[in-house]
Amino acid sequence: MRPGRLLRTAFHSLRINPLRSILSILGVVMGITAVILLISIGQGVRSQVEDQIKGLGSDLIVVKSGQQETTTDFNATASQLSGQLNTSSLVQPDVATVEKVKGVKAASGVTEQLDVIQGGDKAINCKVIGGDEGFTGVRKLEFSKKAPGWSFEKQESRTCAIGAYVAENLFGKGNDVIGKTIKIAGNDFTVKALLAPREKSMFLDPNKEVYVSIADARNIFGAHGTDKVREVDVKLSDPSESATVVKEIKRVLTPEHRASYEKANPGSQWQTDFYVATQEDMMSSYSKIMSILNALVIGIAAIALVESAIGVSNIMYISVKERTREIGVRLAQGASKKAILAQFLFESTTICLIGAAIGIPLGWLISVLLDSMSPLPAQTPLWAVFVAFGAAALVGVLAGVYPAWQATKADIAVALKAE
Amino acid sequence: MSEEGQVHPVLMARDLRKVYQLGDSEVHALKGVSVAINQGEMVAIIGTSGSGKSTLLQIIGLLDRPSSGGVFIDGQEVGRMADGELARMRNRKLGFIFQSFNLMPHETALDNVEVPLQYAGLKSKEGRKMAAEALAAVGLGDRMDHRPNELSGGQRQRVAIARAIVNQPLVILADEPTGALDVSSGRDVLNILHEFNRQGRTIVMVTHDPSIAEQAQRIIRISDGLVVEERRVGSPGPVPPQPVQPPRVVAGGAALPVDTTRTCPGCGTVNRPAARFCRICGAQIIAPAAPALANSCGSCGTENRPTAAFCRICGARIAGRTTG
Repeated sequence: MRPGRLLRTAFHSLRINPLRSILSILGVVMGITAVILLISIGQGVRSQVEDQIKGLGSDLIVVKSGQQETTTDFNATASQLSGQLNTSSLVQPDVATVEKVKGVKAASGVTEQLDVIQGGDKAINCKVIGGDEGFTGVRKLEFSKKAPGWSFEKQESRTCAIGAYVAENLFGKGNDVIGKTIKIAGNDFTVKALLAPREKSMFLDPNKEVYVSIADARNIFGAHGTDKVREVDVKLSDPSESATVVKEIKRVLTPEHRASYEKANPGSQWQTDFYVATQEDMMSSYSKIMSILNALVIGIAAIALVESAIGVSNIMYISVKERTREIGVRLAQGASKKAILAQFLFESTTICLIGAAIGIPLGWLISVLLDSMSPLPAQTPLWAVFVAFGAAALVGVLAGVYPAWQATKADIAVALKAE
Repeated sequence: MSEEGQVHPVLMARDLRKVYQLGDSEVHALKGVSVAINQGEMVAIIGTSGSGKSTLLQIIGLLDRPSSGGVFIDGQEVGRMADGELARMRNRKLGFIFQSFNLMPHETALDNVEVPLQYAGLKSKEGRKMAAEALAAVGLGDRMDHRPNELSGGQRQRVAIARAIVNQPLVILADEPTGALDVSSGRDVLNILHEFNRQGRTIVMVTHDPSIAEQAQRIIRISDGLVVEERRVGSPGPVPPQPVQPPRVVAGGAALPVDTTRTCPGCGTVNRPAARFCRICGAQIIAPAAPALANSCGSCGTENRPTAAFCRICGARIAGRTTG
C-alpha cells in the first residue's frame, strides 16, 4: 500500500475506537512530557550552577588550605563549609604575600562557616562570612541600607551586615533591621547594614549570609588569638593571566609554609598544605555532580518511555485481537503480510507521534511554569524536542512490532471466522 | 464458452487432501479432490454441510493450505509460493464473495471496494475511479458513501461483488453468496453473477441449494470429502473426467469477444479481458479506448441506446445500468 494511503488507514482506524486511541495517546503524552520536563530541569540546574560560578567573576581565584591540587573531590566542598578555621594552614601574612604577586589586583583573608543565627525570637541557619579590610576589593558588597559612618573596611568589632533572607526571617519583612542585635554562635552582634537582595539558585542563596570582620570570626569560631584564615580570595588584574598567577602564588607561598612547618615540627617532611582553585576547577567539581544528575534524568526518562511503550503495545495487541477478521478480509483481498505489518506499525507510530505533538508543548509549558513559579529552574533546550520526538517514533515502532507481527500470523480462513 | 478445443483450465486442483487435527482425532475434510475450472465457466460446487465444499473453495482460493495435493492458478503451481507471491495471486487473480459479506464495517462502500486496488498499489485517484465503476456495475452507483450498516443485505453483497471484480480477477470465488439473503435479494445477487459470467468471467460458487446450482453450467457434487458427481447442467451424462495434470499455458481470450481482450505490448501475449497486467511478463497493459460504458454492451459490443439497461442483441445487462 502507498504510504499516504497507510497514513489515512491509520488515522481512520484510530477514529473507530476513540476512547482506546485517546488512552494510548495519553500514555505517550505522559512519557514524552516526563522526558521534556526532566531534560528541562536538568538543563536548568546545570546552567544555573554554571552561571553562579561564573557570577563569582572569572577574575577570581582562591587559595585554600588542604592538600588537593584541585577540588574534584566533593569533600573539599563540604569541608569548606564545615572545616575548622583553627586547623587551616593559611594565615593573615599569606594574604600580604599573595597581594605582592604580579598580576594580583587585590587579596583578602576570608573564612566561611555555617552556623545558627538568632535574632528577635527566631533562629535560622546561615553562612557566616568573615573578611578582612581588603574583602570588598575582592567580593562586591552592595548594601540597600547602612548605618551612617559604618563601613565593612573599618572592621568594627561586633558589627555585621546581613543578607535580605536573614533580615526577613529574623525580623519580618519590611522592618528596619539597622541597630538590631543578633546572636552568632552565642555572641551578640549589632546589625549595621542590610545587603541588597541577590538572585538565588537551587543550591545557594546568597541572601542567606551574614558578614563580620575576620577578627570577630576568629574569636567566635575557635581560632581566638591566631591569625588564621580559611582561604585567600584573589582578584586578578587580567583573567587571562590566571595560570601564571596561580604558579607564582604557589612559588612564593611554598618556602614560607615549608619554613614555618619545619620550625614547628622539626625533623618531619613538609607536604603541600595549600592549593589554588580557579574557576575551571570549581566548574569541574560541579560537572561531576552534573553528570550524576544527567544519568538520573536519562534513567527516569527511559523508564517513562518504556512505560508508554508498554501501554501502546498493550492497546495495539488488543486492537489486533479485536480486528482479526479485518486482517483476514485484508489478506483475502491480497494484502501481503508485509502490508499488514506496515498498517499496524503505522498505527502505533501515529499514536506515538500524536502523543509527542501534545507532550512536547505540554512538557515545555510545565517547564516554563516550574521555572517561574517554583525554586526549581527549568530550561527546555531545542535538542530535547528532537530527542522526545525521536523517542516517540522509536517507541511507536517498538510497541507496534510485536502486535503487528502477531497480526501477520493470522490464518486467513480462521481469521475470517473470527468474532 | 466456445468449442471444447479452445477451453483451458484457469484453475486446477489435483488430489487435494485436508486433515484437521481436532484434539486427539483427525478430521479428513478432503480426501483427494481434483477439479478443473475452465475460463469463462460458471461452476457450482454443491454438497451438504460438512461435506468439505467450503474447505475446497478456501484451498483453491488460497485462503488455506492443503495437507497435500496441488493447486494451479493460471498455470502456476501455488504450493511453493512465498507469502508475497500468494498475496499477489489473491489480489490479481482471485475475487472472493463470502456468505457473511466480510465488508469492513467502518468503511464506506467505495472504500471497501477500493481495498484490493490499494494492495495492488494503485494511485488513490485511479483506485477510486475504478471502485466507483465497479459499484456502478452492480447497481450501487448511488450508495457509494454508505457504510455497510446503512445498506440492506442484498446491497452489502453487491458491494462485496464489486470488491471481488474490481481487480479484474481471473476467477470469482463465491461461498454461499445468497446464504444470508432473502429470496429476492438472493435472486438479484445471482443475476449479477450470471451477468458477469455472460461477460466472460469465470465463477466458482459453493452452495447447498440445488436450485441455485442448476443455474450454473457445471455442477460438482462433494460428499464426505470426495467428488461424487460432476455433470454439465442440461446434459444428461457426466462429463468426461478433467485432465489432471499441470495445464499448458494457453493463449487465452480467444473464446471471448475480440474487442475486450488485452494484448501485451511487451511480449504479445493475449490476456484475459480487461487485464491490467500481462499474466506472462507482468507489464502494464494500456487499455484500448474502451467503448463508452453507457451504451455499448460489455458482452457482445453492440451499440445500444444511451439509456438502455440491457443489450438489444444479446440481452446482457449493460454495466453501469440498474434495473431498479
